[in-house]
Amino acid sequence: MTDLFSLVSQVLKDPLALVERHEDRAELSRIAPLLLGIAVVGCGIFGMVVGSSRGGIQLVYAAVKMPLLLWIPVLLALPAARALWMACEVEVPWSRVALAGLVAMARTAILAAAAGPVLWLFYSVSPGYHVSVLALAGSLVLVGLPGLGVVARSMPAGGKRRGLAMAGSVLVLGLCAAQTGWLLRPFVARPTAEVTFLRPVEEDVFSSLGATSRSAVGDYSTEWEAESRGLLGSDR
Amino acid sequence: MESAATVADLAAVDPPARAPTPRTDLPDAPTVGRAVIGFALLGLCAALGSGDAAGAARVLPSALVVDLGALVLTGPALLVGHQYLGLEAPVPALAGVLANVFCRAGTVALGLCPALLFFAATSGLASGLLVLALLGIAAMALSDAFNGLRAAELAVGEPGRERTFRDARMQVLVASWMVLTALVGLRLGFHLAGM
Repeated sequence: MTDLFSLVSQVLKDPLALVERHEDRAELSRIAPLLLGIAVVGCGIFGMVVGSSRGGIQLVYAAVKMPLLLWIPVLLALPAARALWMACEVEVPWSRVALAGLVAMARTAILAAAAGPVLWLFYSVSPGYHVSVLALAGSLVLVGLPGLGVVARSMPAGGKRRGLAMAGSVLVLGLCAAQTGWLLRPFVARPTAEVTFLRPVEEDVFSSLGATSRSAVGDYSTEWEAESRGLLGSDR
Repeated sequence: MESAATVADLAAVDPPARAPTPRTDLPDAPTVGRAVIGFALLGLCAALGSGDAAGAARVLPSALVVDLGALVLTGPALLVGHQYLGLEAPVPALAGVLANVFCRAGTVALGLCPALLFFAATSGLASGLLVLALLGIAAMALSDAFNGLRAAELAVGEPGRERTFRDARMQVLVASWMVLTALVGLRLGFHLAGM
């Protein structure tokens, strides 16, 4: 248990040193389950807070899904990030990429858990569905940025056009995170809707965010109907 | 004093004496294969998200055809123009730069496959993201090629006015080739999109 608290402290205080110290495969396999555990617990707490906007079974659903919201984008984006860094002539071993991703996830999860009370307080004044969704998105961006910083600073020195590799990596991660959030919805359930674990695969996050932003300011002039899309869409 | 003035004059007109050393050796077969697979898989991932078989058939080869096609169609023109303008970098070195640029671009394409497959499975955005990815990869590759080809030319000969003029000609040649390659790539892309 002391080890775990010490690890949490290192993740917050000096994540880069953690990446440097545990880069070899044996150390990585020892520390990876602990970092994953921290990510699950931290995200679970944050998920429960988000689920509290509706209450009941949504508390459990959101707590279970929230860690996936962190894992899936990282798994999808890390190969692209590594390829972009290599294209900029920075050789990055897979073990370092994986460890940087794990530490970043753990850091984001801890910060998300710590930000939970603030979000809970906001939800407790019943801000409305659309504003609640935007508050969730904003919170995730805020707690995600320090995690992104860990990945960026973990990359070895040298190479050229490092800014381009970083910008590309952030773009891919951001796109994947946004779409994953849309896929795993609802986190904040609509007050009138039936609570479900997952909604059908339909449309995409960007068309939805546009509709939500318009609705949040009371603009209902454009009709928005979600239709099935992609390979997993139900009408395929 | 006179010698100091001469050095200052040279410094004012001469390109950097220590240009970055480009990779001019030809990449090995597995590296080229990985790049080709990267582009082919990128097209396949986007094709899986197409609405119909006809759309998928058009999207499937798009990444490979656009990138490899543009390079194969315009690469010889660059080499011919290089020789015609009396530039001095060895042709194998220029071919090596182009091959390495293609391999780096293919590696990026391979890295983007998981993300594109995810979007193909869960949204209708795969084709749009494929276009975005190809534009980004092409911009990166062309910029790489510009720097690499120029550095290959600068690697030959001693600093001086003659090398400065060669560098200027090389820049014009490579910039023209980049425009040609971009236009050929766009034409191939529009053809595949049925436009």
